[in-house]
Amino acid sequence: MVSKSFKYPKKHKFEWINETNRVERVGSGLKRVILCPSMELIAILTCSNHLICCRSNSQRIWDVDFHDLEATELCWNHDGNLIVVGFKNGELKIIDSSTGHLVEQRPASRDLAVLMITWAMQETIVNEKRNDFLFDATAYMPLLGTLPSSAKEERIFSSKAIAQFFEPRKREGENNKKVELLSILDERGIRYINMFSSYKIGESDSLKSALNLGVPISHSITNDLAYHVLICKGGTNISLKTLYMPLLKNDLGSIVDIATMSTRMQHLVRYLEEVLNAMYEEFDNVFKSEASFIKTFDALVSKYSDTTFFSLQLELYQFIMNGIPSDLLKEWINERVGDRVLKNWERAMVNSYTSLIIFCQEFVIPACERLTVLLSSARGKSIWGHMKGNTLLDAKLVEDCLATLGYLQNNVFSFLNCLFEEKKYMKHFISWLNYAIVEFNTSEPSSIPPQEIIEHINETVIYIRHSLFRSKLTSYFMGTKPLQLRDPDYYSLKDFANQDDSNSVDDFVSFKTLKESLRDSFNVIFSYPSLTCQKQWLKTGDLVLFEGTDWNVSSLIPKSCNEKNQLFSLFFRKDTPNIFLIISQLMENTMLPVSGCHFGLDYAELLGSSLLDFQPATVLDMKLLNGSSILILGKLKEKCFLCEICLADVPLTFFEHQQKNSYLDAISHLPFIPLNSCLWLHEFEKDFLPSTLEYALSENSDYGVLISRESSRYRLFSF
Amino acid sequence: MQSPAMSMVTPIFPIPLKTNSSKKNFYTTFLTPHKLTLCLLIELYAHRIIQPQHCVPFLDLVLGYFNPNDSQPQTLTRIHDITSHLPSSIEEYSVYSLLHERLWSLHSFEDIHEIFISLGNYIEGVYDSEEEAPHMLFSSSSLLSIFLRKCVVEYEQFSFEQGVQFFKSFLQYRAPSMDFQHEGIEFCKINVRHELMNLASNKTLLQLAFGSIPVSRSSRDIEQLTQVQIEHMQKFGCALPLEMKEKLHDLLEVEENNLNTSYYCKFLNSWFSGDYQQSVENLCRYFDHIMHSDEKVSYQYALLNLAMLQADFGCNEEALHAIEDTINTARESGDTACLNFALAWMFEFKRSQYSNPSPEKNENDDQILEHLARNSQKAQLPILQTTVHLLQVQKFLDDGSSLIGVFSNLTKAFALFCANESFDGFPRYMDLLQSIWYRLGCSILSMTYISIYQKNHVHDSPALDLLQSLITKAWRYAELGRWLDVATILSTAEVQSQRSFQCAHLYGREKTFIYLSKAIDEKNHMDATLYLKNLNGFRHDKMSTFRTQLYALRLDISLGNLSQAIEGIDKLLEEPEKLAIEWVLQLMFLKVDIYMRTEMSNRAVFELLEIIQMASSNYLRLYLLRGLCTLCLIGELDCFTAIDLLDSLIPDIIAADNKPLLALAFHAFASLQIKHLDLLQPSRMFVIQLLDSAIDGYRACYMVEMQKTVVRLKIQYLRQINDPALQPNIEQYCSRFYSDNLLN
Repeated sequence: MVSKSFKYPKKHKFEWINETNRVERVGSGLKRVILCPSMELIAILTCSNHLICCRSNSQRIWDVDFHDLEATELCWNHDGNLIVVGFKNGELKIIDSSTGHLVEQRPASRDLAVLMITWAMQETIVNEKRNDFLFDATAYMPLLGTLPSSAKEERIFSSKAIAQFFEPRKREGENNKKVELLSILDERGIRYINMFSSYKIGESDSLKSALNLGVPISHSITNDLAYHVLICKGGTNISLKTLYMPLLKNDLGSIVDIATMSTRMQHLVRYLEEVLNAMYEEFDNVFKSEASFIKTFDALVSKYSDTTFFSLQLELYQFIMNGIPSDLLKEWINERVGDRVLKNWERAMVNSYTSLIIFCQEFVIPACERLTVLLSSARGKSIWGHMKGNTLLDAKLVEDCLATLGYLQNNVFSFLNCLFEEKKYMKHFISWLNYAIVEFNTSEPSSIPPQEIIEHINETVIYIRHSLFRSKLTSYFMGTKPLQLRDPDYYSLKDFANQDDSNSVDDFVSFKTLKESLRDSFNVIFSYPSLTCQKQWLKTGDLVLFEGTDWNVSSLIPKSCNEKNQLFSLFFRKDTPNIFLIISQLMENTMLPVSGCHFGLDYAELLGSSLLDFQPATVLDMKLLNGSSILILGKLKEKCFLCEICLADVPLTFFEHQQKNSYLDAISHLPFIPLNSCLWLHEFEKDFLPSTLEYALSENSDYGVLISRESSRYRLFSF
Repeated sequence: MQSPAMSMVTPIFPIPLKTNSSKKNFYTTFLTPHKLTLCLLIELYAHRIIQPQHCVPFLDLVLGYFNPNDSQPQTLTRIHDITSHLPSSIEEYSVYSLLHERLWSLHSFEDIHEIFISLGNYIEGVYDSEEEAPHMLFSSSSLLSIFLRKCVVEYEQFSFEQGVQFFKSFLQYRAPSMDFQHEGIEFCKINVRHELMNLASNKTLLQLAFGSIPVSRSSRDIEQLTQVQIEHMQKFGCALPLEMKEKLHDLLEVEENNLNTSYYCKFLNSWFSGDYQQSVENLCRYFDHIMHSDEKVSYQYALLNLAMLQADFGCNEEALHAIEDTINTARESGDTACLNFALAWMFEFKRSQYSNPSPEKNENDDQILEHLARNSQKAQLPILQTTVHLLQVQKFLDDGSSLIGVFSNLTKAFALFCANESFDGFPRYMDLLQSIWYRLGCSILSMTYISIYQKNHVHDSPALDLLQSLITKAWRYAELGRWLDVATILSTAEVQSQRSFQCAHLYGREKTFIYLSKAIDEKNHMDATLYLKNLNGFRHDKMSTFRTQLYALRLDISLGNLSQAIEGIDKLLEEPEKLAIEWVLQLMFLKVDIYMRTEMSNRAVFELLEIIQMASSNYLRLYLLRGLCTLCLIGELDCFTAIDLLDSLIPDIIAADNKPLLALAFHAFASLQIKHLDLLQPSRMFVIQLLDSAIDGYRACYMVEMQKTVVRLKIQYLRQINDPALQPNIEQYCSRFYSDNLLN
């Protein structure tokens, strides 16, 4: 039998997406179903705590088991690439929608279930004229090099993709910036706000003004991201609350500028960290090479343990001067050191030295230059912003970071000096040692060594005394002196500082210390905008709308009303006929109700019911559609239907200017008005009776999903 | 009648005493009494009297003779200081005690002769393999063997007279140890032979016995010392203590001295002392002496040195001819290294002293650079390769044509430093690096590189480069308004300026420029005039000549001689191709200043637009920012456009760390706010803060006139807002500035 379908007028047409009319069944039970806003993808959260991603044809893409964690809420981002999952213990996971892999995981700041997740986006336009005289010196510099890969850690700059991180900004891309806001709500209110795009703007956690709001049942964000409108259960009432951040409204451009800089600087800091880690790995090679060379003496030392005095440096030094090796050295030359051993050691040392030079020359110094340029610009912005009253950055913190960076640059140049010297001395030592071994083993020794050996004999002696058994580079990697910025002035590098000839590790600031200090400085600097954003959230509205806490809410701030920032809210109780539509408008930084309607559905005639037994249809679920219509899943007696109502057909009653405490009375006294018209109506067969409704609006098509929790089945439709 | 005692004394001393006898120097090639002492130490070491764990100080002494830069004093006192604390294998005797005994066991020339004969026994190969040596043997190619062999070979070449002279000098060398005692016993007396009883302890009798005692010097040591001195002078100038200079003069002036390098040492000394005549004379003597000695030397190097000398003393035409002759001679001789260095030097010399009026000259310069780049790479001359890259950078900076080329060449130059594992030529690189970053408005990075250079490369940098770095830093501090730091830096630079004549001129000139600029800004015309006159006493190149003219024009403007100033500016701008772009912009800013003073705003705006265009296309960031700020101040732009422009530029101006420029920006911003008070509705606190910041900036840089302008603007603003609550503040503010002599 063909299903009944009434169309009035013929604006929309309901039809199932699946051509075979197949109803999909999830055996483990449906808990939550979310539609992707940009692609035809479905995220299904099952009662067995699995997250399944399917295409519109029900083909499964991936299946993730959360094991002991109980998921409570899902949300897609605006382009459908990521899924945010909230858990009962308050944790948060962000999953790649194409692979199911975990992208990011955040621990819970408090042990409360995540109730609601909202991901909003806004595009900002930057004034083009400002770019005419802006100058980016880094755009003219050679690109940074690609790091070699490492077996110890994953390096994000070890592939050719590095170019996209440090590519100079394109002019056409500068004008439009996408700012996204990810909000996490639990039963105490907004717990976490992360403001970001392709860069990180700031995070706000445990907003004081957002605490104790009650249990949120609806969360909407205005188009400029400055206002959060929540409908919460509190005590025995339903309240409309407004949170406001002036900075987002007044100076979003500054936030975007600083965020853009911070992204580039974060990449550079990460780059420096990876380079310094690579240098430490290379230094380990130096250390191992030294150890392997010294190891050739170890067996001999134990053999001559009876010797009262033994010094390898002294043995080698005497060998240089008198040309006659001691018994120990004779044995070492004959048995331990062969041509292969010596060449391997030399090759390892030279390769390590060369790699360290390249790391400094091609990676550290250019990155430090770029970072200094960006920090200098950030310092200018922070000082100027402070004068204008915007305190997104602290100039003092930036200057501390500049001083640390200057210290690092100075250390690198000093390190290169030391490295050049040691490498040169090592080569002379190898040359002498090869010559000495040949002379000792030959039956006809020459009467005089080559001139080259004599000319560099001092370097050989210096190497034996100071570097052969413990490299001078050790201090740069294992120094224990803490970094002390007594004067944060970035010009604090002292002139004509006496060269410290001491090789003690206590007198050196190691690269590790500098790296950690740099990271800490950056974390402090760029947590400052977060702290600023956190402090600026203001609670500007708190209005009681309804008594009782069993109301369901569907609310929306349509984008078409960009200037007015109107909030459309539907309030209903499940399985009851009463529906309240409340339209609120932003006035004086507060969302205030301006009009409303109390209505019910009179579809007896449409559904073929008897007029004598008049009874309004009860509501199972309903959704607002872009501020122009309402999608209602209803039930009349034993019949289940889905229909769409135009908001223009709903008679509105405007509220007089009310006191805050009067909105409750005004809403409760709204007259009940039955509606008997709709755009279209579809009656379902008895084999599939949905109980909840989800939809997604996109540029290409509008589609939704109907879910039957009792039978654990769902079905996609378009309209 | 004479007394009997007198008549008895006279026959005892028949030889009369000599008075006022002059010392004679005895020259050897290598051997000196000090080296003989080291040979005796080697003997002790060979006989294992010096224990292995204590032989390092002794071996270091011998090793020092293989290190050209080692400068240990060749005295017995030095050996005493080193070895007196070294225990020997003989109980209760230090190494020096045994050495002392050995030294004083030498009573005659024959004893020394026996020592040198026996030294060869310590070299491996003398004994048969079957016979075990009673002492340690040294490998024939070891350093100790080389040292011993040198001493023995030279001694064997001595004539009898030379041997006696050497023995006498040995006695002189040993004399300071007469008073040495070991456990209360004077060794010298114990070991004196019977016939010389009481003779060794009496210097007068010693002189009577042996005649005049010469001071022994090794020509090899003197030559080595001279070579080290030349290297140091080439880097650090000729700043030596007077005593050292006298000793060096004595060494070089002896008749027996045939060292070739002594004339070159004199040449450098004269050059860096500023004595042109003596420099030329010594240079000619040096090369004449070499020619006479038939040593291998090329005439082109004489010409190269002559060209450098003449250029340094301002004889530009002669220098150019000399360098051209150098190039021709080097090409004829096939000396690629000299040819390349001469070409590089000529390129730099022309750039710094001459203009390039025609495109043909530029093409010629490009060809020279390309030629140098190819040849230096073929000839494997890394220093010259680096120099060529830096010359390219300098050319790009002067032309302002390619910023990518600047960074590319800097990167290549630094890569060459790393590839060659040496920072030779690094001062020039660092100077260019800090210069480009300053030019691009990143003052922090510029200062960082200056500090890194001064911290890490001071000890081996040429004095002139170090001084230039200090002066650059002084200029930066002056732009920051940190005049106390300027004074500190200049006092440090003054020490460096004493190293050579060239350093003294550079320091004097730059110091005068710094304080002249300050005097003009603070309208101290008397001091400014005096400083300007003092500049005539220093040597100038093209840049400093222009700067002198520029400051003279600034002084004219400050004195109110606007017509004279505008004529001077126009005259200089008649041939802009002779000037660097930066200099042209400076002159144009002076014109803008004149137009503003004469209230010719339209002309000033037109000039500013041209400045902005030139500065933008040539990456002169500071000039661009200054031009834009001035345009916003006087240009009558739309207020919203101007506000947006300044709002976007001020962070960059803050980053540039230029106090006057920042003050100008605040001044312009505040001026716009005040002009359009009703339209923009700025907060009062913000405007006052801007004005105060501008005043502080100008005050720090002693720019009195601009300070007055901003003060008047502030008073105007305070009166304009017409707030009764602020009226007392206005009166107080006016009184304070009257007392500061800012409202005339």
